[in-house]
Amino acid sequence: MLAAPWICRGCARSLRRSGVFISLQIRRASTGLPPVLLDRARKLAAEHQQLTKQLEGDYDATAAKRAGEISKVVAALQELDKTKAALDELHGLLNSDDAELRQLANDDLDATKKQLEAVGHKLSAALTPKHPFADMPCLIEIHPGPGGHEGRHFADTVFRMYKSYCENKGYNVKVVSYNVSEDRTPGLDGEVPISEGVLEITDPGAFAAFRGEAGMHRVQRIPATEKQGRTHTSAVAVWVLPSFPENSTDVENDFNNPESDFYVDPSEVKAEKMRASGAGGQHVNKTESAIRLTHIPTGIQVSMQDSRSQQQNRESAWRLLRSRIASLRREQREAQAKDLRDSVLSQSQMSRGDKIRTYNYQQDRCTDHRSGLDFHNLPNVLQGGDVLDKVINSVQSWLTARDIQNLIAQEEAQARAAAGGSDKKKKGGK
Amino acid sequence: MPRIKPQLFWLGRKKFGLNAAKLLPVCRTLESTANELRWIKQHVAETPSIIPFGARVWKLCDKRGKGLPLAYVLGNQPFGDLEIQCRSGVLIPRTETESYTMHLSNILSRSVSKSNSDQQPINIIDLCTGTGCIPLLLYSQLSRSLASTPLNVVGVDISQKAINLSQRNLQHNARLHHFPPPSNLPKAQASSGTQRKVQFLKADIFSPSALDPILSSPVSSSGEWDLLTSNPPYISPHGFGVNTSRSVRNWEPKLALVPPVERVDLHQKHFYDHYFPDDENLLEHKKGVRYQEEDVFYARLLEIARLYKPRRVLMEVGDMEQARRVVGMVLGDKKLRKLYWREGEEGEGGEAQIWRDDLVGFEGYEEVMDVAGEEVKVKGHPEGHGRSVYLRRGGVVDL
Repeated sequence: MLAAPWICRGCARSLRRSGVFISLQIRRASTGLPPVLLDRARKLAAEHQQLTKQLEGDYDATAAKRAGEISKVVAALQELDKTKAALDELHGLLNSDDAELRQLANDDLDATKKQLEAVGHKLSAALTPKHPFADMPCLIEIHPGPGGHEGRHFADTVFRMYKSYCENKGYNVKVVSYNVSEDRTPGLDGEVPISEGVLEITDPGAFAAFRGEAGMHRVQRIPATEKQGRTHTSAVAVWVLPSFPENSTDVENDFNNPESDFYVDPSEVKAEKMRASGAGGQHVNKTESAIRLTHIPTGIQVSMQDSRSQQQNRESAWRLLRSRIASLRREQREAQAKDLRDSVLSQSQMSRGDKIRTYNYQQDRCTDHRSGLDFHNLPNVLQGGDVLDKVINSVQSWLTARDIQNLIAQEEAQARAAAGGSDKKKKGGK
Repeated sequence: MPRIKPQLFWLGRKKFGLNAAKLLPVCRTLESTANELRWIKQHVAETPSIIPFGARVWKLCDKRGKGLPLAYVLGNQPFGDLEIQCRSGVLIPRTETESYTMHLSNILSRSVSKSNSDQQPINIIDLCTGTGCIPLLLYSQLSRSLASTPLNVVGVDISQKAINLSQRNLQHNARLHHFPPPSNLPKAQASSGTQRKVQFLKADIFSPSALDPILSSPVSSSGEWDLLTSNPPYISPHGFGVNTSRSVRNWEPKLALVPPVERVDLHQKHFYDHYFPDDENLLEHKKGVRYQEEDVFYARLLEIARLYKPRRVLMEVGDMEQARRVVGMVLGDKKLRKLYWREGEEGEGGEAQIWRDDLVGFEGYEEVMDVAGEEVKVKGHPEGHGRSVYLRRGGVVDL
């Protein structure tokens, strides 16, 4: 609580600007856990208690299995409660009259706080449903949306933004493809219009870090080509695809395993070299190294011509195709799961088409529409600096919260479906 | 060849600058022009020089515009994960060669890692090696996948230029750390315990006195050749004038493309006498047969295969017709048939296959073709040309 019982508005505003309120808020919610998570943890703990009671009476295999699943969460929650209690006690000691005791408490405070943080992480890790591709490297594809030059110019900026962000954060980043479009009118700050850009981030876990970036990125600014000073709005699509790790031992993500999402039957892929050549071999020394792959069942088409080596182009094309197909399959599965769920959450279900972020040059502002936060210092964002890091982190925490909500909703839906056929009959009657 | 529209020159100049107008007559499409210009610029940016950037790009575009192949202009050509240096006078490595070499190295590393438990050295010989691209790529792939197996790789060519260049390529790629340096390089680190050797030797493969010492070297140390590869000249003198593209005809060495006519007679007269003075192994109707001019090298290569019995043989060919003729040669010879064709018992016997272009990624494709009354497997994407003939000795298993 604040020391003063009442503050005038002007003071409150200046306090807010100086960050006092924020730090107060942070101090109070010191576990750093979203409330949804804690709620769910409490619910699970209650369920666990009930289950153990039931299991004492008579043994049931499914109940035992469920109890085993959530016991990890319960243990983490207990630990968290214990640490919290210890922290409260220390806070109490800080106010005591004994100077020596105060000293001791002060010494312990930092260590306990750190412990609380660690326990909080453990709890959130135990609770958060893990994305099946979370541990994989990823490919970031950048495609300009409709909107002529402006979109292509901004695509270049987005491309550079992610590239330098990865460099700043120390990720291993590789340019897979960077296609400059044919008409090269220069844009703002030396932008070149691009028709496609693909980055590969080879660190494991990169997909989890970047999956929140997928969607339409909207830009509002006065383009370099605009003569009358009007603000234009255009968009750039960013796709984040899990990439197949080069030598993986993981059976689930091995592309030779037909069960895997990454498996592509070669007989379903039509390969074209860009030019149907005559004799080939020693007869010609063509430099065309372009490769185009078409996956017939889905109609997904990938073409690659960046490298002089056809072999390298082919490898990148195959990798891109596998990633696109895997993410399509995953999306289809998610859509099926969504049908099962309540319709309440469908608004926040993100797809490729939804606008997720706005970059406004005039207002020096970057707004993420999912976390609903505004960030200023746009140049820093576009250079991939700390502010972009903040934006990405805000999306991450939003994603985690949404995943948990989805999970809860799904479980409830399943429980309802299991509860009885009578509900279904009613629905059918409607 | 259709005329290039003047409009295209105008468009290219507008979009990519004057350099494009230089490249367009050779590249013929704007897309390909853009690519080549990008590669040239990339190359210039990567190699430091005191001459200004623009002037160097202009010069290289000028050279390329006169029809010089891009690999000669830039001085190198990517081949698998290697960078093969190219100089005029030595054939530029082709993508088709790259494709089947990768496939071959996959087969080899899979099979050898299963069967070779006592770390016998793998002996590989490449005849008509040119830039050394095939043995170097095989070496690079195998030294990675079979880290503890000793390798002995030999490349042979008739041209001193080719031998010098292949030596340079060996050193160049070792310096770029594309593969661990072989132990016979002077600067090789002694740290890697595995014995790996790469040699490039000058010899005429039609001269037994030059070739025999090379070929018999692993035999003397109780080994045998695991693999014989070759990308010999296979274009007929007529085909050279008709089927080849202009930049091949004008700039690449004819020595590497067209077998010299006099070889045909020489081969007939001299070599059968030399190796088989009273030969009863040849089928009766094959005696005194005249091969087609462009197939002379295959006749010689198969002769070497008869004598030294390499476990696997891979020869590049020009098209499906030539592939059928080469398989026909194998099937028409009693001894070769015994070695490389499934005679009698199932599974244990050898096999002759034809490989098409585009093997990697399309391993599943397979069809059967009728050659000389036998059913021969044809592998690879059905739209590809017949590109190579693969022979496997009886008792050797591919995985």
